[in-house]
Amino acid sequence: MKTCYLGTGGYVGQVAARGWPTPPELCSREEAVRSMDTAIRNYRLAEEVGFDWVSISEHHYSPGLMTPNPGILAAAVSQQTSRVKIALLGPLAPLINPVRAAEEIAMLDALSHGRVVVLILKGTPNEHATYGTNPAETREITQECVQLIRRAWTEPQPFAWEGRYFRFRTVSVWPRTAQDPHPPIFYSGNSDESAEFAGRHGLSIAIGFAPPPKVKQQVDLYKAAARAAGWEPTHDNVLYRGRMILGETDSAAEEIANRMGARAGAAAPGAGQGGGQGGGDPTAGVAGVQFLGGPDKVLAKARELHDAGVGILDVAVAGGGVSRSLQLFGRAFAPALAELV
Amino acid sequence: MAAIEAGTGRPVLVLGAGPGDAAGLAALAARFSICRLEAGDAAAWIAAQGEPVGIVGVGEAATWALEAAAAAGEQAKALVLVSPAGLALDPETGASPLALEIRAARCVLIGDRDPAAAPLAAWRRALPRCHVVLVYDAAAALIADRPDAFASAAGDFLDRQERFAFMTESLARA
Repeated sequence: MKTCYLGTGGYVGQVAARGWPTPPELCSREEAVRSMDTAIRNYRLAEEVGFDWVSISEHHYSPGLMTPNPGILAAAVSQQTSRVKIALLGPLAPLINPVRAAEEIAMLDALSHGRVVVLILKGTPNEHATYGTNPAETREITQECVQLIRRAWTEPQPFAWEGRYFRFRTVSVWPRTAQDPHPPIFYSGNSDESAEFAGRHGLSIAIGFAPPPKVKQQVDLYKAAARAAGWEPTHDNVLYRGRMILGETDSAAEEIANRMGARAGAAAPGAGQGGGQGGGDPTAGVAGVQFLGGPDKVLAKARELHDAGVGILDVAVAGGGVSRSLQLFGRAFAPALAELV
Repeated sequence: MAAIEAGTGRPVLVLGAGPGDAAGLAALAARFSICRLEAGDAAAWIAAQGEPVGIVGVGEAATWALEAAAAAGEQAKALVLVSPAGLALDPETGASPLALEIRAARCVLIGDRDPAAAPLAAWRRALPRCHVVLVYDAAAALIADRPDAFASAAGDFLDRQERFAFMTESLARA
């Protein structure tokens, strides 16, 4: 089983009130710079302690995840790491120009020497308010976007695209992606329809925050659709995203969780609204924590997910200090999870 | 000659379209004076116009459209082939010998669910210097599947040829 560190690019300063959108005046310019430095440092540490992948999501207008363009942070990470896969989990299809995204990701794939993985998402309701997207259209936009990006990466000659939501009369992406034919493409596996779409179109899937029985149900749907389309997914085609509070022991993890719960309870109304599908602010509370405990307990949960078909574990570490959690995770899990194949 | 004429504007000859294509052709007729021929002398119709014309060939009528464009010489300004089928290609170059004879700017519209869409590059070999438009969510019955997309892409190419990549709709709002 592969491990993936979901960094947040989160604001490291104190914010009096969050909500969505969070007023820009609450952002200290100095803390913004320090936040990016911290994010890069954590990604570098994730590679050092043994993670196989690192991931970066797209989110807007909030201090929890300051990555409106994950490709920019990914480009910086690509120059500070040498081994880990770099997973862009967005981009958010309804908010982007797909051809521009295809160009940028191809560029990133070259910059990182072929280490890019991409998950095209439709985003959460608050994010659809970012640039004025009609939420009713986001599913179809995302489906079209994925197919356009894949075409843009694979067509050897210029072409035009006359879509339902996108129209480009000239598409001719340079550079080509370092990976042949293109970086692995993931798609949401959270809903039945999206899992089946992914299977039908030869995509990998990402499932977020669901309990193992639900994960198994989605993986089974996905695999059935893939088989009907003539191919067989493996564990490497299934990513699971969850939040983790990891302690040296179960009671140490629970103590961290209790401290976080108290802090979240004291937060201003609206705290954490920037979260949802893409991950949210992992320190906003403990209600949505999928992995809580010491190494044995958390490893048991990871094994349960592996049995459900998951091959890549994407975790946002919450509480107790990211650096400490990353080191503990690497020490306690990386070797054990690598044995799950 | 069985001719069905509609619309106003510059003349466009449509060859090979069927009854299922009515909505797409109606949308095209909002911009052009179209004449749909099911059989007959295309060259005579073109010559009778006395001005530059556009030609649309649908499906198996692609060869007929290429022949008409070759015969029309400079008078054929733009040729649009929709889901072309049955073209004779040079086995060595993959090119249509007829395509080498035409002067018109040329464009191919292919549905992404049409098996002929893979690989798109083959169409650029078949019709050198042609523009290839991939129409999303359309199969071989492209005009019926996406009538508005057909009218938009074909119409813009018939109107502006290579400059169809430049949009003419304004983003400004009242």
